[in-house]
Amino acid sequence: MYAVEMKNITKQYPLVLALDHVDFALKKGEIHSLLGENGAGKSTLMKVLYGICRPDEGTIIVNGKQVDLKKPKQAIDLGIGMVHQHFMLTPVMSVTENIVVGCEPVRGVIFDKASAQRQVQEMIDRYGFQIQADQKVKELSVGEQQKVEILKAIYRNAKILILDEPTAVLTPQEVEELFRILRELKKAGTSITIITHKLKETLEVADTVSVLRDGRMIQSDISTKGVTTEELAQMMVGREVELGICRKTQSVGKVRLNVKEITLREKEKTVLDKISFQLKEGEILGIAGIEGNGQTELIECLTGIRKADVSLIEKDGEKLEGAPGDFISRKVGHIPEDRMTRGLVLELSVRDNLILGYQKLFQKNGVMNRRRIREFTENLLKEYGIKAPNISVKCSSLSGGNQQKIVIARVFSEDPDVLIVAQPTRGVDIGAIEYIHERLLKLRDEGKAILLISADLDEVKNLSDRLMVMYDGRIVAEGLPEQFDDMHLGLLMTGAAGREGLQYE
Amino acid sequence: MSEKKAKLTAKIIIEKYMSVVALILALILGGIIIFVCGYNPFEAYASIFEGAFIGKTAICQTLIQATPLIFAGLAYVVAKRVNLINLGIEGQLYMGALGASLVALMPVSLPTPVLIVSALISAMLFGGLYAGLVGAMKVKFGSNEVIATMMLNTIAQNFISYMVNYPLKEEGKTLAQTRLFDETAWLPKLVNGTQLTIGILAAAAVCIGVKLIFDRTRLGYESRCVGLSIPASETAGIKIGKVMIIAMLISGAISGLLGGTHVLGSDHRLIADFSSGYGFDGIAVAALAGDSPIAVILSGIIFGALRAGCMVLNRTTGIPTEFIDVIQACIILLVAAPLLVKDILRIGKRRGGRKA
Amino acid sequence: MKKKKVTALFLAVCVAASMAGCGGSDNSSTSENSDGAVKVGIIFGTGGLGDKNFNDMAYEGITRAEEELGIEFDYVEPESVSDFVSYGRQFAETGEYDLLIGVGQDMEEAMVETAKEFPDQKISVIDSSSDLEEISSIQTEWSEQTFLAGVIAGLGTLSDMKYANDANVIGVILGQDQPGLREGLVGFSAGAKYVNPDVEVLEGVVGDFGDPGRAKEVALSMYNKDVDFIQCIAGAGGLGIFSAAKETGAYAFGVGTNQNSEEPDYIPASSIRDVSSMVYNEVQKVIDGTWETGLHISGIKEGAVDCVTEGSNVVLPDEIQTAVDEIRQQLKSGELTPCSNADELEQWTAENQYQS
Repeated sequence: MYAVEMKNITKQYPLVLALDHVDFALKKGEIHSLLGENGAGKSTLMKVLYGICRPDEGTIIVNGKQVDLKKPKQAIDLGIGMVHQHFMLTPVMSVTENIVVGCEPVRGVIFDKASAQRQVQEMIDRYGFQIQADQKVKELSVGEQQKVEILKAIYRNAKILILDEPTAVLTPQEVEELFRILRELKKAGTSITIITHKLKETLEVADTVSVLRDGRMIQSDISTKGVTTEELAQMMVGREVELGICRKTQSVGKVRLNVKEITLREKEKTVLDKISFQLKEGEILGIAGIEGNGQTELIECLTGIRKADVSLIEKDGEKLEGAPGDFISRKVGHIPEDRMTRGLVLELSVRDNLILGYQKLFQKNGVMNRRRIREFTENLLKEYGIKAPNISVKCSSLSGGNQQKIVIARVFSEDPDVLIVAQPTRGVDIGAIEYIHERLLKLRDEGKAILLISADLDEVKNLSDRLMVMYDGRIVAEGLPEQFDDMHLGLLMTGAAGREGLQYE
Repeated sequence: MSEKKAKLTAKIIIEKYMSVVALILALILGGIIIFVCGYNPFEAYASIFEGAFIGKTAICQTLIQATPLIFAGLAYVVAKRVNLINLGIEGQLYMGALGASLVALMPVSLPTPVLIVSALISAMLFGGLYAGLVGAMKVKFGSNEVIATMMLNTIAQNFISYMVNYPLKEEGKTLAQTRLFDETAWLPKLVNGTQLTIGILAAAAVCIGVKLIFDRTRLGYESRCVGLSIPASETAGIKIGKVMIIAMLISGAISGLLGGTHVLGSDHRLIADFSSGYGFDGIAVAALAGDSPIAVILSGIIFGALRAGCMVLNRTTGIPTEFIDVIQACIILLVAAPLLVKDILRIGKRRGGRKA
Repeated sequence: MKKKKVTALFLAVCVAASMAGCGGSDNSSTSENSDGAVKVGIIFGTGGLGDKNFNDMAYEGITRAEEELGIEFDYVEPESVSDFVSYGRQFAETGEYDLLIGVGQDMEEAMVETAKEFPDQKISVIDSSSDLEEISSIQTEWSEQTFLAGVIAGLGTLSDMKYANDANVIGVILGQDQPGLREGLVGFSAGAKYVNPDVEVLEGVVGDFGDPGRAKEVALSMYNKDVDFIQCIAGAGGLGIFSAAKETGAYAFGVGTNQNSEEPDYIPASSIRDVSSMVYNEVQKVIDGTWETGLHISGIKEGAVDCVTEGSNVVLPDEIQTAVDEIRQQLKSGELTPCSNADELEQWTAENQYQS
């Protein structure tokens, strides 16, 4: 018996065929992982199911009845709930208010806050969450906010739950917790679809897997029993992939970047507290930590975007200060954590984005050398395997992976000495992740000094030669990656463990 | 499949030629309004067309009316490039007119080309600095450029009014205006017996110039980045404040040219309140042009044609010239609300489809 | 979808309704030029119709001519002074119009340019005071406009009227120190001295036509110097003077249109200028074949200026009313010509005295 059957779904966007006659079926009471690279069409497929976008062709059958979904309201009425990757919560409102919004219990015409609060608290207790119904959402951690989103769906009697990349922002402990909730929901009869590109998690939590690639269903309804991550990866990418590279550095050289006591206060709150470290030639220094613990501010201070209250940054023994332009010309490259806002001007062409930040090098007396730009960018496109129809298309029309490759290509190609690399593979497909990791390691071997800030624990652990953990604006631990196990790291990242005695060397 | 493809291409075409669709819809809407007001829309449009395009005088009149509109539209486009809304074109053009007049009224005799070029440079300086002031205020103090430019409009207009009522007033006359400029300071005419001067060529040339700056220079590149994403520009080391101020300077200088060419080419003297709101008409021109400097030339000519046509319409049918403002408003509404246009088209299509 | 349709419809209705509201002025003269009928083109000033002033008065004159003289007319309302020439040319080019009227002094230059290009076209400019061979300039005699108000003031200040005091002092307030207005001042003084040779006439200048506040201050200080009658020649400043009169308990004379109803208890009369008959008379002249270029100053005789008491609650003593009527007859018959030059006033007074 199927909870959802989608048949022959086709969706054409102006430039891409997002879904090409896709069949998808979700059995009642199963956890079904929808696997695929970014841009493979998983999100679009689920948006079709949730009534956000309408397919050009195809039929949808929910609980045995054919339906024509025009808007999310209809989907909700059918018992479909969706937890988006970017939460749709109002931070200044309470947990209760966020959960009941849209279907508030009323007495007459007045919002019955007391009974709403009671209902919500009951739900929280039933699942054993550590949150209060009257707490403001802004006081919650990311993992807790996700729970609010799940409760919101359950409150609306969702019997079919869609989760879009639910683990992207969670710590290992929170991931465990999420999986526990999902299994519990499954036991209660809820059918769950998880959109993800993380293979290990798929195998851990899902009963069934379907793999999408380039808008086509490659494999549907495979049981997770007896499938390996390698096989899944191959289905996703269409070729063999090497997972979990771990090549350690050969030679660490002299100090390239010396950071002393960066301190930043904002609104009476210490955001960065005396952060000091040295970054050496030929090493990758990783910073692990949950987002919002000062990483963004640290990156901004290290790239000239923000001026710290106290800070001394030395590059090759000379003071480094000024505006972002000065940092760039001192050969400090920057891969921003958010490519959509800081890394790229999405509405500009691929060509223009490939010289962004380095436009000074392509002009003479203020006039741009268009021939050189064209040659340069066409070469980069080839060299980095960026899949774009031509150099004139807008960046916004490319997939996340290709967008990230553009950022990386332009920074790497200008041969920086020091690289500040933040979340380099967020929202990037597995093929591109592999490529970006390869590139980073190659640069390290060429003797570059690389600072890697990432919320993806596997990534920092695998790539870094040295690892620091950041919590609440401080470096709480430092050591070799193999000195930390996942659970220990999770504790450090959430501040549960005290200052760690581990020191490198 | 081929049907679907056709549907898709139709969609792309509509999106690409949004402006044309909006223009046509606005004209239809205008026709309905004419009809509601008790006039014959077909007669009216025929009359407009005749007044705008039939005969030498009509074409000249179209171009005369287009000249200030092209400048104004371009000034708006330039500021819009860095995502600033320049509502101060009106004030800047008054300052530009003053700048040109001061040079033209100088009691020295210079050869025509020298005099005109220096008067226009002065116009650009006056207009540019007046707009640059807003840019600087925005960058240094974070003041809202929309409000600042609007306020400065009133100041400029009253200042010019003061200047022509007192220090620069023609002696012994009652009108609030300066004396007639010497003929050496008049812009040369393109067509004798009309008011069409080389101003229209200057306007087109400036549009092309701006297009080249946009496409070929580092400034153009950086202003596009700033206009589309401030965080990304900041990260890329672009000096955002500098780019914004320069864009405002250029926008103001173009407005100044509007004022300068107008006083030197059309009135031959500075008159209080001479502008009929060209600065604001520029917004409509820019909207129709989809913020492209080259399209501004075409868009300016279209609006100029409507204006020229309406002058005849006013005389022969009594439909008030304000009708132009109605069409202009319709165009802005429709261009600014592409979704509305799509809805209107969809309503039309669905109705057709159901009947079939 | 339905909701959107309704919204769209609502919008359209709103636009249409607002259009109908402002475009309501009907123009009944669009018909073909039937044989024989005189056809007149009229170009209004930039204020446009609905200004409750110059343009509206001119419109009244041309419609009266349409009704009474059976002429046809077309009109235009330019948005900018720069369009005057274009409109003039458009009218003249057709060759259909027997007369072209420009309303307002600022039309003069454009009309001369048109006349040079189309020498056969008859063109009149209302309120122009230049004697030109190309066009007919229609001006009124300022000194005749204020003369009768002067007579009332000269006799009134000696009378036992409610607010008249013992002192033999009256005054005039000018908006700005301009030659035309000075003639009005002299005319008023001459009128007063014609009936009361010893009367003292004070003068004040506001320096602005649009500042009632300042005008009031000037008037109050004048009333404080024992003035009991003031003639305003100060545009909108007049309203301030009337309010000063009410506050003090004194008299003021209106100017231009009949302003008596503004403060009927304190305004005994207004020195009016009838723009509508200036327009009407020009049309009449074309029909009669007496139209010619040059400066035409009309006065009481032609009915272009006068002193009216309608609408005022102030009751003039019989002897004053009789004197006013008699002197009006003297002016109309040409028996008496008012003095318009301040230097000649003394001698004029010595030569001309009213004998009741």
